[in-house]
Amino acid sequence: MKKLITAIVAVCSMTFAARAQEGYKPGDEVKDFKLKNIDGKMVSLGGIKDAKGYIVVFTCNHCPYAKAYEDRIIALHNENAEEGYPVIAINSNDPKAAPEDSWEKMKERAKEKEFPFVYLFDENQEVAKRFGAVRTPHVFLLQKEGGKMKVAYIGAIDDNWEDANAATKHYVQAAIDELKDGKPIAEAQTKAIGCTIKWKGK
Amino acid sequence: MYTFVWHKSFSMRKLLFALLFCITGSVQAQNKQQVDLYSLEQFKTRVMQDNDTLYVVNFWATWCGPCVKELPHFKKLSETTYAGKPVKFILMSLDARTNLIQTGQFLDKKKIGIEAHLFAAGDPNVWINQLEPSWEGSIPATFLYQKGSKLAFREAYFTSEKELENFITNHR
Repeated sequence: MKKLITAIVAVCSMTFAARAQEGYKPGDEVKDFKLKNIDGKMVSLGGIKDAKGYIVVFTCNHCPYAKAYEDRIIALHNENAEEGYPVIAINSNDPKAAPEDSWEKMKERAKEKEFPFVYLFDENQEVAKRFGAVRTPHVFLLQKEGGKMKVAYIGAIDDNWEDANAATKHYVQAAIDELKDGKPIAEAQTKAIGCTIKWKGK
Repeated sequence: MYTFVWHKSFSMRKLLFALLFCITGSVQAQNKQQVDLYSLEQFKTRVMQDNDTLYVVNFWATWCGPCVKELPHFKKLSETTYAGKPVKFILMSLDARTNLIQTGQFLDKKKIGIEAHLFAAGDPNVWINQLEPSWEGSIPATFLYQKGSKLAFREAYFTSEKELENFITNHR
């Protein structure tokens, strides 16, 4: 009986450990990455000077939710980039599963919408996996803290994907404002509906 | 002569009836699938009932590829294995409210014929956490409810009818 309990505890803690590794949580330190931007240049977090943090948005071209939020992502960048929080948009979808999310189409979309931020292609999907991004759009707000890059907020942009004007809770902007004011983040994690990231070989 | 006239008018009437029937019939065919807006409260009332019926609830959207792919599995099981059984299949669309009519038309075109609603429950951060805290927010997602409580949850799509059937039988 004792052995059984020990076994159950061991299995449970293993499952728990495996779950804990499934992506970043608020407070976690972020490992830098290097991804190709739509202009062909490689971009890494460390390479962007004067940044106090980043609004990392896993997004894509094809998803209706991502499309609905495009203008709001642009607004987030315009509102916060100068104050040290630029948007880093990342597309991690497998173009085989979502042809609209190919490298060429990313360039087209960025041109059409005049993206003022970098739009990176996570071709081998490693960055999405490391972050624990599962859907588009999925935001990870990062903050520099004593030379380290830490996750400050994970989740939704706001509480109304259908109508930006009807949104009452602007989660990302509220978190950025709290960071700027040196206040603790009231809501560090929120849930949202989005399109599943299209993984390779699935 | 008289008989002929009477006969003619009779057939005219018949023709009119037939025509009327055709028109209403086709209108009905177009709006066969009723999809209505559903609040969180309506949802809870519908699926958390104190009876033996098993509610198989699928969250989906017309724009979601994997969701659309698995819809036929729900249709097939509702018409075969679970036909006449106390198992109720319900589709909860996460399409935009402005796409209410298109969602019904979409289901019609695919001949799905399952009870369907469009979930208009406000801030997902609120209702996702209420329905299932482990839900990351991707769809399709499927719930089983019985006797007023949740039996199971799955945040992935069903590759086959059999897989869906196993999910249902394993949790009953």
